[in-house]
Amino acid sequence: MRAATRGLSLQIARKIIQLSALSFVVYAAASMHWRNAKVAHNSSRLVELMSGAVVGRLYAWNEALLSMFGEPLAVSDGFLGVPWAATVGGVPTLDPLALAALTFSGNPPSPGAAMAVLLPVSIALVASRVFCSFLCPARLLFELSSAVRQGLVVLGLPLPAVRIPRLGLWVGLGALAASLGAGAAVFHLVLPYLALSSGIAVLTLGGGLGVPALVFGAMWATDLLVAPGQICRSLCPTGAVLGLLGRRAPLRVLKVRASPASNRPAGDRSEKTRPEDDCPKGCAVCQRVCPYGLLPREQQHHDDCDRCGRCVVACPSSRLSHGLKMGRAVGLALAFAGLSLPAHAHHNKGLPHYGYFENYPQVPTEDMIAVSGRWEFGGVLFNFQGLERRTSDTPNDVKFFIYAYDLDADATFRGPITFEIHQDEQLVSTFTRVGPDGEGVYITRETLPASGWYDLTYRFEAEDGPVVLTIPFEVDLAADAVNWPLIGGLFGGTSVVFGLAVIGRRRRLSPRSSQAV
Amino acid sequence: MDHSEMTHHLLPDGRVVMVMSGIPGWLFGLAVAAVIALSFVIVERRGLAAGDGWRLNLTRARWAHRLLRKRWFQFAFQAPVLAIFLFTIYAGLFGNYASNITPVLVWTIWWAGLIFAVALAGNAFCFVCPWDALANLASRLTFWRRKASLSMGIPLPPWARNVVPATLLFVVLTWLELGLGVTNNPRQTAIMGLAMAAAAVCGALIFERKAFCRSLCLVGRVSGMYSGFAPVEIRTRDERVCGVCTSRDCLTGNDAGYACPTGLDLGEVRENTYCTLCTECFSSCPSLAPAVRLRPFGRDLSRVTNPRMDEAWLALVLLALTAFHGLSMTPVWQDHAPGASDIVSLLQTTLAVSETAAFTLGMAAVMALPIGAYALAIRATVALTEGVAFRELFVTIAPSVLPVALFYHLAHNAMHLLMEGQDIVPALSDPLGRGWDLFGTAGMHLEPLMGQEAVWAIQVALIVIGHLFGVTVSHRIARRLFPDKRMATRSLLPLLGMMIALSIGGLWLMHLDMNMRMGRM
Repeated sequence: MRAATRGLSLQIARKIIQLSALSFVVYAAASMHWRNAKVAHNSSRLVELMSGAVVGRLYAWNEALLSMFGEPLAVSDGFLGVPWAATVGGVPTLDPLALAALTFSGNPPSPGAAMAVLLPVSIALVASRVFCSFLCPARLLFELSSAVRQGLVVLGLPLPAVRIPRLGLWVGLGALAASLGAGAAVFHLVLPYLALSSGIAVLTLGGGLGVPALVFGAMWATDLLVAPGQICRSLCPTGAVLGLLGRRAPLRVLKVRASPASNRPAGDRSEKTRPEDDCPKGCAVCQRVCPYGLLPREQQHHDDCDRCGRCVVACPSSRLSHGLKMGRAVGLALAFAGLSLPAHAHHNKGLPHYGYFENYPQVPTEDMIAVSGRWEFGGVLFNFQGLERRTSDTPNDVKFFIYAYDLDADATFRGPITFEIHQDEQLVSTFTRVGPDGEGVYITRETLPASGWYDLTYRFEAEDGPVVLTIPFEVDLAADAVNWPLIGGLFGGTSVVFGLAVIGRRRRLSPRSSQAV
Repeated sequence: MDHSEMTHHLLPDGRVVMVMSGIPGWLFGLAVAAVIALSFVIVERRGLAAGDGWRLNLTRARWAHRLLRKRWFQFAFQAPVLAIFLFTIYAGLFGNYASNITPVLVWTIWWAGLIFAVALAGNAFCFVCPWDALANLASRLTFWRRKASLSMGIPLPPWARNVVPATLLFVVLTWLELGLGVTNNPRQTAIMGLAMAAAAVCGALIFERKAFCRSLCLVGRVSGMYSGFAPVEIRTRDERVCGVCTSRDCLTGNDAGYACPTGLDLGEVRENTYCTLCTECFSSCPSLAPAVRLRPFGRDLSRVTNPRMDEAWLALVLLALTAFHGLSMTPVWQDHAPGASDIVSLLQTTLAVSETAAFTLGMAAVMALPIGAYALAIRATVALTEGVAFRELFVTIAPSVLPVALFYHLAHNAMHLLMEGQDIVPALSDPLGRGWDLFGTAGMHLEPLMGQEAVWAIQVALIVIGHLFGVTVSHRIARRLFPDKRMATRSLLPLLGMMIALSIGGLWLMHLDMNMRMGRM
């Protein structure tokens, strides 16, 4: 009979996928150990001597596993992170909130990051919060808590069931505002699945129970004892964002005709519901099995529904089904077909990301990159931003790490280059190198006259003729400068208000106006 | 002072932090014992003494009252403060960016001294407020004469008619002050001052009355909360005079004076909270009803007639922020000794986040502690008694934490003023940090005004006094709320426990070592 099995296989698949997602989180965290050991020792025998037989065995197993797919370390590169920002099978994915948080915390998103949100966003556009029910590692534990809760209720424990209004977006906005100053890490304490995953990561990496794990524990206890399903439904910002994206998602749990097609009049093959197909009075089975207490029988559940399909299995009269709104589905499919999805992480060839020079912790300030013809070129600048520059003998010095990359030959250019720094067409400085100073990177240290925008010009001879490349870059030397734009903004805004007030008074006092104040 | 007990740490940005020992263990123990013992004495004795106490009308003399009626009276005090304010901004923006007079003048002298001013003279700073002076100048285009205001006179939207904006601003500014280290940065300090000025001027030009003072100005609202404790008030000299008044010139203004900036009616005002002491009602009242009066300390706190949720939250945030402010200066929070562990670095390593992020999260957690303790005590009180709901009790009892917060604030600031205040002397001779020596004091390196032991004694005394005031106030409020005597006593138990916990917490903060701001070497 169809009623018993409808959707059941999907539930089994769902559990398997959920467990895999959780395993991935644990594995990705544990594989950091493996990667460290691989880089440090590169021998299971050494690892065994260092950390014991069990660890050595695990190391060897993982190496054997990864070797099946290629060079182990490179394969391992393809399985990193947590759902918030992960590489799964080499495909980078990023929570859309992570992109927003990075942007808010002052890191303009790289093209790669923007591409990495495409996969989650498209899934959400098609199936709304399906991430929550199938992939979210926290959801699995919350399902556990709801099972425990049911047991406790059966035992007679009077547990409250608080309903929290939908605040997920507000939580997300609040966390974004916080990430303005505090960085994207704020989300480790707000997002259930991220708190759980980073908790697992901290635990696996030997740091003991971290704060995120405790935060997730508190969420779990809340879900268990006070507000079942509400953390996911009402407080999780990722769920809220996915739900928002999936407002018009074609995949949803729909109500379908209960009577088998054979009993219907000929020609009526519609699956749409009719009044006579209404659910039996008083039946609320779907609501009882719904983790969020939604009511699919009224078809009002779509915004909060995560498409888990438990109600489909539970419905005693098989009136529910995962349905696809065909028109929307085709439209979306066409839209995605037009998009190619090349998600390349960009990497600046051998450039330093952090360095200590002459005892000053220096801040890499500009990550410039440009492509012109077959040449990709750019670099990193270091200067003394935000530091006590009075204590430096050469406070206006900027250290350049520059490269040029031949995209056709897939190799770094290593020949002689003459560099010129211009500001407003004026030559500020020039220097020549016969070859790279290290790892294909040309290094120099220049004294610049002032903060502002400059142009860096490369001149070199390639085999097919002379090449001239120019890339603009900005240098902020003056950490002690008066912030005139901000002051101007304050004065400007106040002046505008003042002007408006003056005009307003003229109007009030004009003879035509009877009510002088 | 014994320098052998001091440790210095040189920070990467060139500043020096000196670690000062906290109060010794025996003093801590003694103070805790005093707090606990005296609490019960209060409940036995003082809490029962009710009554409004004495008043001394300072403007009884005709010449005094006439002086306060002068339109130029407030401006005469505001003008010099405005001049100092403008010079401070100038020094902050254009003086030596690493060190000039601005940080020490603003954060050590003004911001620390402000709380002493409030405790002794109420909202005295509002009276001389330079931001208000600028707002007046911009919206009236006159120094002191009564003129039609330029203001667009838009009524403040109802959702903004509370102190929530000021509370939020207070939290944000404390974060800026401590988390971003604005206290050491003249440029940022000056810009904060300018931003406040812009907000004050725009507020006066757009909204009716002084919306900025009423809702947004954290300085005014914080002083306002504390000023219920102050021994100075402006009230009607005789309620009968106001009782027969029909024109309410103080509220609406007239040709002689502007309307009350915060919308108070002299005949009905019972608390100092929103009174900015601007003396506008002296000018406008035709019946010469207003009077500046002295009174015993802490009068308003136990008789708040119309307690409000937003004010309760401001009181609690005040308590939480001052406690956090104290903690943030201890090595427990941030230890500059090499390799030492502290809350911030613990959070940093556990969460793998930046120092600022760890600071922010820690700040939120630390602030939640005293507020949570308060909510818990209220919840326990609700459970032990009958007839009063959580929300009502939460709001009504809140003023009783104000003395605790105020005196902890005073104790904390006493340390700033007495141990760091002397930095102003060399700064006065070289206010812009350009190597001047105007008064011959530029090179002076002064010892703190008082020795460590004296400061300890003052701090402990202040905390114990604050605790006693807090217990008295909560006792009086409880007696008013619960007419039944046994119920009132029962209700007091959790509150007393909370008060003792808060005071011991304050003493513990004093017991910890303290990182002192020292400037650069």
